Amino acid sequence: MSLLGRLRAIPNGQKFRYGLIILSCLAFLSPFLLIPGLVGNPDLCGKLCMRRFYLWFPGMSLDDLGTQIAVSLIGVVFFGVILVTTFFFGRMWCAYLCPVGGFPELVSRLLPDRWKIEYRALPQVPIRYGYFATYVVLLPVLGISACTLCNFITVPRLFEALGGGVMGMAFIFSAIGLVNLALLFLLGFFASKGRAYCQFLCPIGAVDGLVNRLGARFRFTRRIRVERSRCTGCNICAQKCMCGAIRMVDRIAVVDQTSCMSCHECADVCDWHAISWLAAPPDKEPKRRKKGVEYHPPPKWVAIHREPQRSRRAWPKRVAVLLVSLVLFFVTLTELMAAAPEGDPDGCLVCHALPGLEYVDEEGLLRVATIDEAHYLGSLHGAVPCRDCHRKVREYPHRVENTEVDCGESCHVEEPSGGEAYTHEKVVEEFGRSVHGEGGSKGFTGGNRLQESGQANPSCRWCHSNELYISERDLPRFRESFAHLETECGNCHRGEVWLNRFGGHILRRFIGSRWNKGDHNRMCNSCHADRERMARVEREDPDSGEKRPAGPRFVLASASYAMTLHGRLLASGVWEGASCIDCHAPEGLRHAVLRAADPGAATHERRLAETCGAGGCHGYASHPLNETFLHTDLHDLDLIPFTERLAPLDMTRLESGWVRSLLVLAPVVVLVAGGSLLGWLFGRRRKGVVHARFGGRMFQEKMLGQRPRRRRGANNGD
Amino acid sequence: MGIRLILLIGLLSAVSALPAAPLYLELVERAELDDEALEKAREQTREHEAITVIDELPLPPFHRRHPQPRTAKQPFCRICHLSPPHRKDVRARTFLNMHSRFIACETCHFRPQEAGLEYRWLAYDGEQAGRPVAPRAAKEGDESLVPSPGARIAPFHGGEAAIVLTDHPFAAEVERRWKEGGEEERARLKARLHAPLEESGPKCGECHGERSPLLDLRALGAGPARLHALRRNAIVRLFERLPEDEEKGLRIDDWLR
Repeated sequence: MSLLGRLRAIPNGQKFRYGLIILSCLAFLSPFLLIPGLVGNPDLCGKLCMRRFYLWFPGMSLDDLGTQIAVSLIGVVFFGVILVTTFFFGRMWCAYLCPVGGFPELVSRLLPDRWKIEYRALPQVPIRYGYFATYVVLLPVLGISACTLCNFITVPRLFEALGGGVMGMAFIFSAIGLVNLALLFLLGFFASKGRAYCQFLCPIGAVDGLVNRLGARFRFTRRIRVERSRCTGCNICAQKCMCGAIRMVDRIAVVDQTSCMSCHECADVCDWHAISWLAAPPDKEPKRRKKGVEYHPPPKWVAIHREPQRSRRAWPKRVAVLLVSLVLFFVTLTELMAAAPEGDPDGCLVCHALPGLEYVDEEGLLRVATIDEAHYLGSLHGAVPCRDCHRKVREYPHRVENTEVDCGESCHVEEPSGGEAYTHEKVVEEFGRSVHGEGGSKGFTGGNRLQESGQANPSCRWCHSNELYISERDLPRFRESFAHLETECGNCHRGEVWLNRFGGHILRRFIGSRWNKGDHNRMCNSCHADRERMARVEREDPDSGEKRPAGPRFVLASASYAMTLHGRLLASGVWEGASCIDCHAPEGLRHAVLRAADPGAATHERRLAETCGAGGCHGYASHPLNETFLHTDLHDLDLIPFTERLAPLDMTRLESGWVRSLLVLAPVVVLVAGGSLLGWLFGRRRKGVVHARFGGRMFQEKMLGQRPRRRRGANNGD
Repeated sequence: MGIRLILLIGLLSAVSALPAAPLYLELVERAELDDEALEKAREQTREHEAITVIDELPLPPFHRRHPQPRTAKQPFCRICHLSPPHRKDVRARTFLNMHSRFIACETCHFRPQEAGLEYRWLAYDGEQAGRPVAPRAAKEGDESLVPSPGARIAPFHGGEAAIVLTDHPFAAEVERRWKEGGEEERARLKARLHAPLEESGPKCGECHGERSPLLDLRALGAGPARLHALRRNAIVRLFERLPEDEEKGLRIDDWLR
């Protein structure tokens, strides 16, 4: 049939549905992102995620569940809305709105039917709920991130990649992205009717299916119902059902309500009005009958079919199927399992307030002696006289060695509780013990900034410059709260000077520290995201003690973290993620970044439970069954696109389980897609119903109740 | 080569909108180069080492900076010289560079003896760029006298600016000659351009002294408080008290007392 002919043959109801799906793709996906854009999200993750909050970790408490819900609150609410509408109207979200399921379906409908894989005859309930149980319980325990096998990230990223978006292309070309793309092909584009992912792997669909089945028990809910006496057994509805929810039993259509998505296609094609989407009419018999008039029985619309008792062999068979599917999944998963991490942070202003005091020195560096007075007085060091840091400046012209600053010195600012001179000594000491310790904490002048820029390790100045006491970002909030100081504090503390000085000081602590998690990441990334710089770093091998250039995991650490859920949450301003410092230096003065091999490090294997469980994040982390969860690799190179190679033939990347899965999936995709293309170009045009090459025969037998002829080459669509 | 330059200047003056070439150009044109000057220029050209100013370092500066905003027009000297220009005099360089933000290079370095120059504010930025700016009305307080952002005090001769800016065709010509010329041509060009100029400018007291003979501060918009601040300036006193020996410094406590 020509394309136009095929388009005309689509029932109106289905045209409306396809139109809605297309609109939904426009609204939810790149490049328009209308709906995610409303909440400031670049994709369907983070706040919008509907798939993570019900993950169960051993030892989880209600608080942990609360945290998980809080992180993706909008997703939870939206999920609730979906479940409520499903209860009353069937799975309308899945069939009419979901862009992630709808897009593969539409693409699949464009492709020829012959070279497809027929999944619809598979036992859907055991597979779907077996995988769901695995997803909710087993994957977290095994430490496999739910984000790595998610269609809600694959389809949006695919759209982004097609639009030239960097994040999209980075995902698609990573090992994990390619595996997900292969699954999209096999379970979406080249699945018969395109909804295999929805039916088998989508956790939202699994829960929704249960609600659909629950609601079908009631007469007032709208569901796809069959009027058994009208059904002629023509099985067109079963052939057309995109979910494989309709089976012919004794030549009558039977609908499986856990799989049905209420897409109406069956209702649109049934010529006998034997199957439709409606609430069951009230089952009322008249109290009296008129004599001599035949009363035809009112139509009975059946949603849930009580099937005749199967033979006793059915139960062992079902259990066997369930076990086999679980074992298969487990075997696949052990290949994908996260491996344990390898072992392996005086008046001066008379002159200095003048603007423009600067010159270019021998090396071409612009040296500026001007101090912005207002800024300095409002800065962190505003109460510190110049000479408390620049201790030895006594003469003019200043000798360079006399201008040196030692951050560990004490200054004349008195710490009020103890009356002692304030000092950064403890931080300097902690920093000295860390992996960055060689960066130095003294000897800073204006002139040696150039050579300090080139050194391998950061000094104090790398991360800390003299910023305002209240950061500009917090200033509006501070001012607003400060305006209320009189009522809050001034009721008792009447002295104005005290109120302004101490009130402001205390208030600043309430407003919050200047460094939020996004700032942590920005600071660390200022060096660690610079590949060339990181490639030059030499690290000491913990066993042999010799210095070697850092490996790809270290050099690409920033990039791999950015692709994890933690990195992406923080990048989109959701503060529930863990920043670099939250994992690598969470304790003390937060400067003690140590190598994971060091027993004192927060990322040492024995201390991971403590680190991950801190701050009310993963409270269940210390439960013994969560050992593998703790080993989830947050710097997994499989998350990084293959294009980010450090060396031309970096074979270590090819050893991961994801790449091995790809080696299995890719040939299948090529076979199916290649066959489809060749079939479309060179194959003969078939009339009538075309069944999929892979699994089509089983579908005919199981779902349609037909006995397909054995002969090959016959014109029955074989 | 000198003849060609003269002809060019003459041509440019005829073509340009100005009734007469700025004084600086006239003097460059009329300059007579003696051997000593040429020899010095040759030596400087030979031994010149270009410095590339480093833009931004990954390590940020500790104290906040306000970089000088770039004006629409630049001083003529910027064709070759750095901004900020002073580097060698360790004691004075930062203070001199501070002045270069609001005083034109030529004010200090272009002081021909016979010419009667007067000093007014010249705009380097905005709509009025290249034209004189009226001084601010004299105020009671001690604020800055700069009338518009980027304006500098520049010499005027006969009502017109005595200097050229980088937008003048002569500047483009000089740049071209320097790029294309060999060492000898470059030396001659350099000598000619610097002939009307002096290397070291006036002493501090010529503006900061009691009588300020160089600049008429009142005409530039200084009120009584500002005049007092400029004439009795502590930094000027610092420089007066610095010892002759370049190696030695002055104790700050002594100075401030």
